[in-house]
Amino acid sequence: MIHPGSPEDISGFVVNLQHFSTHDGPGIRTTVFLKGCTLRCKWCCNPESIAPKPELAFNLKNCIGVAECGRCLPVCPEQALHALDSDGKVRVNWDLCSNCGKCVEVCPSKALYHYGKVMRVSEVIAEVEQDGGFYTESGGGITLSGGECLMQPEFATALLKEARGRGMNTAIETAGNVPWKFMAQVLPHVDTMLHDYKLTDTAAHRRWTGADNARILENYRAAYSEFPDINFIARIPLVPGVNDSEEHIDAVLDAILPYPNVSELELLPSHRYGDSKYGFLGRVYALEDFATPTAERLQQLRRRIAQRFAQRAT
Amino acid sequence: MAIRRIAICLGGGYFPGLSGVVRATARAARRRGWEAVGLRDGFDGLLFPERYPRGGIVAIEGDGNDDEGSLLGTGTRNDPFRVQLANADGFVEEQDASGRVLDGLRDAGIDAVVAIVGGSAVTGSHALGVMWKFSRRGLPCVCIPKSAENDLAATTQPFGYDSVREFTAQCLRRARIAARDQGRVAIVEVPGQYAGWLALDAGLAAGADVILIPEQAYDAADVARHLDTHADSALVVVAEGARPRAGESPPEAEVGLSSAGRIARQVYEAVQQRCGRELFPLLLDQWVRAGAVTATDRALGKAYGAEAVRLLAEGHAQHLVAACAGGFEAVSLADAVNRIRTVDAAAPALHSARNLDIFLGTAP
Repeated sequence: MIHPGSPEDISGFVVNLQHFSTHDGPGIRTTVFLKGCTLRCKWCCNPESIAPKPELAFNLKNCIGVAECGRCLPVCPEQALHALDSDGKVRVNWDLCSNCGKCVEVCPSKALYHYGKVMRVSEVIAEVEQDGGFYTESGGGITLSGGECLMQPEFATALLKEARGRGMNTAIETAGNVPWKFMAQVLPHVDTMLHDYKLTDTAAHRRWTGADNARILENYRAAYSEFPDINFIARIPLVPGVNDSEEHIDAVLDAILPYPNVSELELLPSHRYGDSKYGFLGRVYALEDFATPTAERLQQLRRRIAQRFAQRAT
Repeated sequence: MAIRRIAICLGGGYFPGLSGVVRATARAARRRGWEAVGLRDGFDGLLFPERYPRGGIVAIEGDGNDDEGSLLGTGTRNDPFRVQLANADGFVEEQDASGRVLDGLRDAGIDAVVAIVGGSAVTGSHALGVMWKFSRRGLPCVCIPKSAENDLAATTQPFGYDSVREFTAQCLRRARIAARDQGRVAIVEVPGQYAGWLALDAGLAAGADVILIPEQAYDAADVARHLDTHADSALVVVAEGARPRAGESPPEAEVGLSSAGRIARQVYEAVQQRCGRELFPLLLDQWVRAGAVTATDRALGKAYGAEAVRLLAEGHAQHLVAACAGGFEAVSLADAVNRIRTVDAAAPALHSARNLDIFLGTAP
């Protein structure tokens, strides 16, 4: 058991905790979203988890205007805040903001706020344990997600070790784009690894996510081989026109089916829940027009996956 | 500082006639014995020279009046201070590559930069903000303003606005004719996230019946009543940033996502529910930049190029050249950045609209 404030009680960057998750591993779980991602997927629906450290967000609706407040304007060292004459409310010039957070400290209405905060292992575990009863009954536990949770390997290891020591089932969600040593450090403390196959074609992977996929695929192969007791669940975040082809599904199946500890291939239909967060962060949604997959297409592809898994069983 | 060689670069956003500004700047520089070169795609020519078979720095040749394109490219959205690159661990991250730009300029013997920059409906004053950051790093630079929405506070006459206004008015006029022929109401959305200048100016020129701008909240019931009682057909011009009165929900995102088309749809839905006329929404969006460059903009662009070079020669780097009533003035970049000029209550165009019984969103 970790003692709050002890040297082992290290801290990391956390976006938020989501209670009662039912899609991030077995049973009812608490998902801890760690901050920072090593990819830049153009369809990303969690833009607030991309930057490795807390970052400024702005909700115009909460701004009470410079006539009554205006405290943020003089504290900004970068001249990144200004007021609009027509409505008297503040705007952020995102090109100039350095994320120093001085405006957040003085904003009384929380129009200016930070996505992400520093949390200690003991703080995260204390919050996760509030749902302890649900874990024992449902076989659930803690899931580390992100961003890319393996971008903070020491923090992830400490969290999972502590959770497991308290009898929780442990899971991670990863996109795999980390040095193998990061993954190898964390996996001994993991029961279930949910992992993404975004694109199997290298050039397409680079185009849509900003990075090559060779290391990702190599990491997955090494993880399947070296950690036979982990339950691996492969996932495809399905984006129509990007990776919803039979060729991609087949390539993923070819990669996972030889390994008996890969138990599933899930299709996660892309969605647009992240739209407003792009606005709050002043970011451009690079793939703003993508559609969600149709129910028919999902059914077709899931049938294809089920057939291949059935063939493996025989 | 003695100047021997300058570079010209463009912020993102196409305008007809940009090549004329680039050539005029180069010509004015050569007149002073300087060499002028162009940077491809903003600063991408220096950040990623390997992407350009002819090099990221190109000669600006000829003095012709070739107005096709911009010579240098305007497609970039890269901020050299936050470039997406892979780090040593293979993590994709946003890195400050401004040093590479400054090194590249120094290695190429470039003493100063003239940047033709504007605002962006999506991210704010993007290219101007980038130049402001470079100026704080000590890069001698002068900016020329370009804007489709005419919302930069530093000048009422940015390059490109006249051409955009002209073409927008032509499009609106055609929509007006179509609406009249069909006995319907055309709702046409035009750019203008923060300021309604384009909607107001082009709407006046095209004979709009209703103009909705961000500066004056509209009431959908009032608009419906006006349409029902005043005309069989009508042209309603809506600026992208127009907003309903409190109580009616505005379009969700203000930045980050392109909001093009949202307000036209919202006005259409809210007014159609209350109105006996048949409405149809249209979106001009980036098509407003698709017209020909006007003579006013041709002349203005050339003057801007000449003035930018004059400012550099006279030691006024770190400024924006601003056309004003008496000619041109130099506005410091610190004063130009973040300043948005909205339509104030005393704007003559607003008075003209009222005097012509153009409905501005709410019943008096």
